Amino acid sequence: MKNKILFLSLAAGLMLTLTSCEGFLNVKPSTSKESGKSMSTVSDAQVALNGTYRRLTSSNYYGRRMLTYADMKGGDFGVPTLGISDDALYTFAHEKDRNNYYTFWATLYDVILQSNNILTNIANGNVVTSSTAEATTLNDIKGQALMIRALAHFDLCKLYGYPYTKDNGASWGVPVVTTILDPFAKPVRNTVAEVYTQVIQDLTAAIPLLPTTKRLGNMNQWAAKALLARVYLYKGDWTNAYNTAKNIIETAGYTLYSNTNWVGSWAQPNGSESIFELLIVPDESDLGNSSPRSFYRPRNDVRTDLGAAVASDIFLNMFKLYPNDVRWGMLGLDEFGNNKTPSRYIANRMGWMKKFESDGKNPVSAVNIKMFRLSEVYLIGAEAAAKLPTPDLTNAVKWLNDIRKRNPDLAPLTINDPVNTIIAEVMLERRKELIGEGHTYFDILRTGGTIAYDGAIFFGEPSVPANGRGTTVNWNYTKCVLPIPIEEINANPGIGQQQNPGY
Amino acid sequence: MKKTFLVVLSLLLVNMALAQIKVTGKVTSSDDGSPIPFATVQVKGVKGVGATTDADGKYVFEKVSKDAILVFSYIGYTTIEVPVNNRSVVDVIIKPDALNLEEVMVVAYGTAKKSTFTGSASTVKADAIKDVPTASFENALIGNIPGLQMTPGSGQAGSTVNIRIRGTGSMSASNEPLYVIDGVPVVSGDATQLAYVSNNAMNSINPNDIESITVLKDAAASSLYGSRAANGVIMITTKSGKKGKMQMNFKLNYGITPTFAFNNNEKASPADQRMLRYETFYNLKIVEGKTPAEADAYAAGQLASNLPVDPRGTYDWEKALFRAATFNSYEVSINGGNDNTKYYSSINYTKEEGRSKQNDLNRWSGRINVNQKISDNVDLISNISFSSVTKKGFNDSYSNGGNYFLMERNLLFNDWFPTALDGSPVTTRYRSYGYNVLYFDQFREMISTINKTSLNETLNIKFNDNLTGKAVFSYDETRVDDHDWRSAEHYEGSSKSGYVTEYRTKIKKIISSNTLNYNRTFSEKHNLGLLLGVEAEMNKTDNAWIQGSNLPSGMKTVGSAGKKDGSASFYESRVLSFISRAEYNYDNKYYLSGSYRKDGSSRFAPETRWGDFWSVSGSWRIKGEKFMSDINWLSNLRLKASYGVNGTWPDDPYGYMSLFAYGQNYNTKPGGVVSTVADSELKWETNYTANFGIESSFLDNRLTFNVDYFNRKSTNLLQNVPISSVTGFTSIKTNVGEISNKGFEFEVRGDVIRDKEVRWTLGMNLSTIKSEVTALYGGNDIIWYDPTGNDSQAKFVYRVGNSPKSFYGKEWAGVDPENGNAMWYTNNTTTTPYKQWNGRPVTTNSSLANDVITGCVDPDFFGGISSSLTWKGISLDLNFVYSVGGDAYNSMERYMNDDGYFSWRTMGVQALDRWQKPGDLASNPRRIYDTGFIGYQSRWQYVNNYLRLKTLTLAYNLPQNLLKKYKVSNVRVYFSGMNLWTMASQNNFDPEVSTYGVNSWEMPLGKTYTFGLEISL
Repeated sequence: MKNKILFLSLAAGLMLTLTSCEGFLNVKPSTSKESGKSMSTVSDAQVALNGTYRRLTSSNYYGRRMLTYADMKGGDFGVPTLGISDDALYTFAHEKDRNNYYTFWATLYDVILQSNNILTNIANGNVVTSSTAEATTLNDIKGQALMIRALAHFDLCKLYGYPYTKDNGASWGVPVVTTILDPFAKPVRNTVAEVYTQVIQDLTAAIPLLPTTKRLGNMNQWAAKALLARVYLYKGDWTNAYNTAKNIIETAGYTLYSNTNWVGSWAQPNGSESIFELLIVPDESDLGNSSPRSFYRPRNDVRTDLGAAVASDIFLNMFKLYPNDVRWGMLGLDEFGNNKTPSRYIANRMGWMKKFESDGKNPVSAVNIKMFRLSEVYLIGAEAAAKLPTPDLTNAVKWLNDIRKRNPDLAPLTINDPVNTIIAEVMLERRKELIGEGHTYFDILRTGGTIAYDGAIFFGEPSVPANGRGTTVNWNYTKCVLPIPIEEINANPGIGQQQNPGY
Repeated sequence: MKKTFLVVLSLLLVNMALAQIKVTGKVTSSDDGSPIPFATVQVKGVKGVGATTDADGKYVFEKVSKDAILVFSYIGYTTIEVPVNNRSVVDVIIKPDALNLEEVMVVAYGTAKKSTFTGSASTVKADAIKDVPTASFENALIGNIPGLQMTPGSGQAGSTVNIRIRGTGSMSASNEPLYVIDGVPVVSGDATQLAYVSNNAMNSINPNDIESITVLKDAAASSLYGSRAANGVIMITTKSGKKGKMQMNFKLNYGITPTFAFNNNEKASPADQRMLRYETFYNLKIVEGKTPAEADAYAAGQLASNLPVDPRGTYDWEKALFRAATFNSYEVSINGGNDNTKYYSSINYTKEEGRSKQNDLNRWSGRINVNQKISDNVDLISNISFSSVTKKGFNDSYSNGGNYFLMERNLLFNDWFPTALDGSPVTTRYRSYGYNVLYFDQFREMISTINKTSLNETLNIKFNDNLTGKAVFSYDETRVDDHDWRSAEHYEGSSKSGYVTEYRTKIKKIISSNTLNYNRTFSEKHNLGLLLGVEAEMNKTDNAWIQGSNLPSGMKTVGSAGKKDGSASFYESRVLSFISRAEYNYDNKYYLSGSYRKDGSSRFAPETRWGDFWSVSGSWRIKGEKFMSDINWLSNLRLKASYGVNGTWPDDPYGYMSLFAYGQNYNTKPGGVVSTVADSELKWETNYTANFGIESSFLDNRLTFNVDYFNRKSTNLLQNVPISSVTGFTSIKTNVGEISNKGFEFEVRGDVIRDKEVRWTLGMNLSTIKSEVTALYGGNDIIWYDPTGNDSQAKFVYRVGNSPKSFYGKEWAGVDPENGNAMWYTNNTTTTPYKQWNGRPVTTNSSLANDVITGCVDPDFFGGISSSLTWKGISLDLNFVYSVGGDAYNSMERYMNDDGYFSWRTMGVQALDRWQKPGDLASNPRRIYDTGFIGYQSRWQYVNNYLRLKTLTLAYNLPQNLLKKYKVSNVRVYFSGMNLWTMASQNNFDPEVSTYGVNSWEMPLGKTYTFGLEISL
């Protein structure tokens, strides 16, 4: 009898435990939230925006590779030997399934997803604001998200589509994404013109939402205008480029570095020219041995320095006759010039580009990326002014000289100089001033120019065989843009039909 | 007169009615005539009457019916029934149970007799396990269990191994079997947070504590474990106390591993290295059109500046970095007990060194298992164990700075010395990524400690003769402390001015399992068993890490660091289950069994989280039939069949949730991103397994032959399906595929010689598994890479109709004898061929060749061969493993036989077979310093057939008469060797490659020689 009661109560206990414990099986992650329920307040939107900025600091984007891409391909840098990082950029050894730099494609669309996540949640009214101050903040967040989306689309287009100016944007660009896509969507490429339309539309919408106050680490209205000016310049829309640049130069309140503080500006964050700096913070986005600092440091110096690129003779020749050019201050003795490997000594070779050496943080590799600065806007203005249907040579020359005077040995240009000379000097000044900041290759390409590579010849022999590329590249070389990566084609066969020629 | 008659009558009646007599006898073994103490003698059909034999094998029954049938049984011997037949002395000889038919094996939620078990399972006993010269017991399983493939993760001491039972059934979820210890699932696998260093949780288990290991292979055997058993179950039972005088056991072990077990892409000689380098540069210039003199000057110049000849000669880096590793183990255990209490307790210290001087493992472990009778009907079993394992190791992946094996084999030329000519240490990097690790080793530490506490309480309640209950409560806590230090002086620490990272992980597993068991025999012939139960399991893993950087010199603690950083998080998963089983047998001849289990897991959305798992099985003991009883040459014949369903859940505890993840900070403010897109309808992976088996033995159990056929269909397999990156994600995990694994397992064993003095048993098992991807949703190929170490050292494709482990890459055609060009088959019609080769178009531009399936990891057949020879006290056991027909990919050759892309890396001897002049027939192309193709291709794929003598044990048990004098019950000395001899179809790398068929930069296995001494008091 006792046993029977015991048995029955145990059996009942068994059944009871099973039925009452459904809640037992609901567990939640500790460092994530379900994405559908993650944005309901302005502070949530700010958190999402912070994450989006963090994505920009990836080494596959503005953390390093977006900058080194243009400089490795621009002819102003050369590779000291084969087999170090990113030498395929220099040799153009790209195939759709080898050295295809798929990370650009994946990372930039990730950035677009993050900005679309913010914009969609705001558009759907998921984010509740409780005051006008909050509403303004939310608009600010929306504006920044729009600008980041525009930036990513623009950069994708630069990497994968032929220059707008080549064929008025008729060639294939990249898919334009403005919503949260279904995971199984298979989008196809829009034309370059369609991408530019979206980019300009996003920036134009962002500008009124963004404040004009200067702030470190977050984009403001001036940054959006600076990007817009750049976009117009690449598009060949000189009038709009000119107007936008002029607006920034004359009303924004940023000031150019003087000759005395130009060099020092690279050793500190948030200089007077910085319209927007992407913050690289120690223990956060600092890339350490993969940072741009390690990339350029001569590799016979400290064990983890890559020394992956040294300034080419082409570049150094621009300065050879002008010892007083302040830009010499950013160059140092490279692995050949520093004589640390006596068998590879080239006296006084200053091929080490030191813009990323340190901006005072610890560790020193945590250097902010100066993505938009006033010098570039001046040069945009100068170029656009000179290329207007009716050139405004006054401003062209004024703005150019403001930069060009950093080489005090050159006589300033005047409005009497031929337009073509002025334009050529602008392009040359762009190379000298903006080296290492991700412009060189695109500038030459978009103006229909020819990039010459000196073959990285040291000690009489090229360090790197680049037989596939040849000695010059222009926008007719089919491989002047990256291939649509095989990883994308495998998942999205439709886009494989739109592969760039030559791949 | 009447009285006498009545008395006589009553006496007669009493005699007749009771007919009770006194019976005595002696029980001896048929082996050698020695008496069997503590054998059980029962009277058939009479409850509560029994006796045990004494130390001389003698038993006494005061009163037993003259027609009674006595049943004699003893563990390891066949039970026999002998009728008394009115005899007063009944002596009995019992035979050792060669087939282990009487053997009781531990199975899911209970025990079963091997002879009647309807599922498919194999067992390994303590004797085979206790002598393994490694910290983890898993090495005892290699070659012994048909259908089980075990591959070492790495030769580093303490590394995790990979086990596959009946093939690979999953694509992205775990393929590892479930480990169950003393009835409850336990934490297994790699427990450390240190990247690319694995510390196997199974190292915590002292192999000497194991009584037996049963591997459950088919659905009938394992579906009671339902949701985790799709990949099989490894059930470990620890030793328990035995009634009797306390027995004490001492064991000492000493082993040495002086060399690797096989070649490992041996380096070319220093002179050949220079020649290969020279050729690379020389040929470059010739191709560019320079004269031989100019080419020679260039090449010589390159050598002079990068690989100058050192006046001291050459330096042997291999000798400096690798040693003869030692293995020590000391153990004391006691066991004993009486009717109420039985106990087993052990304490063990083991030290296993790896061949790299930076790798070793220490373990302390202790255990006490007590079986205590609380009342007539209740007993409590308490198994408590604690162990602490400390492993010192290094990065096992393709890490240029952290992997010592990679460093020695590929990055350190023998022309480079660790000291400069003046004796000071070299502290700068050699060319490429080589470092003077002899100097830098003092500036690093990588230590992982696993402390495991395990509590297993089982209450057995006997309600009545038919009904028993069991309540199990298990608490398993694994604490892992990892310490990773680099001083500022170390090349891996310089960028942070020195750093130290401490990881703390706590893995808790709490299980409550309650079952009721009902057994009843009806009409003597119908036997019914029912099991019902409820189980709840809770798992929580807490992770934390803190890192200090900018360390003062000589300091290794976070407390002393200038800057501190850290994080912590946790994840959980839980299971609720309902278990049931019914078993029926008729007359011990026909067996039928069915089970049903319902599992709910927290890893799925509420709508899809409940899974139903069931099985049916049956067997027919043909030999028990009347018509078989006269066939004397057939000792046993049994058929069995089963069919059932098991499941697997995803590895990710939150896999069904689309997540927004925090921790993506910007400007020291919290940031988050949309991180994963998930399929909210994620389902269980489901395995349907059918099994048919025949067990037979002949000639008085002298020859045994078993065959099993299985067909395992895995459906709804979880896989990261690549999606368009334009969505912002690169893949989504969804139930996409189906894999089928089917095959045969054969087991043959025979006593070639079997007599009083000598016995020689030979056994062989052979498994063939045909694995095939049978469906991929959407029908699209899925390309995937070897996940080991996150290195993607090989490329695979899931394609319908092919094995799930199919190598995918360019098909290597060979070298053109005219000019030394590398050639690949185009495998397409769009590329203009360079020429025709073997009747097929080839190209010299690898990007113009299509990827194809070039091979398959799965062997045609594999298994083990064992030989066991005993003569008097000496025994010699050999255990071979073999594999025929699989392919392996030697990814090390990508770096060691690469024709010139890697300018300053050492080459393997196979690189010497290269083209040098027109007409040469070579396997490697002309060496040239250029961007040659080093991607995935069949050039480095080999047929991987091998036969390896995995273990050899020579043991001697000192004779009993010698020992009796010293009151010692047993002394055993032995010598054991591991990986002593290997025969392989290729000569470059150890054929025991990873589970993905890849030979990569993990430490290779070594040859181990062990000596041991065991004393039992």
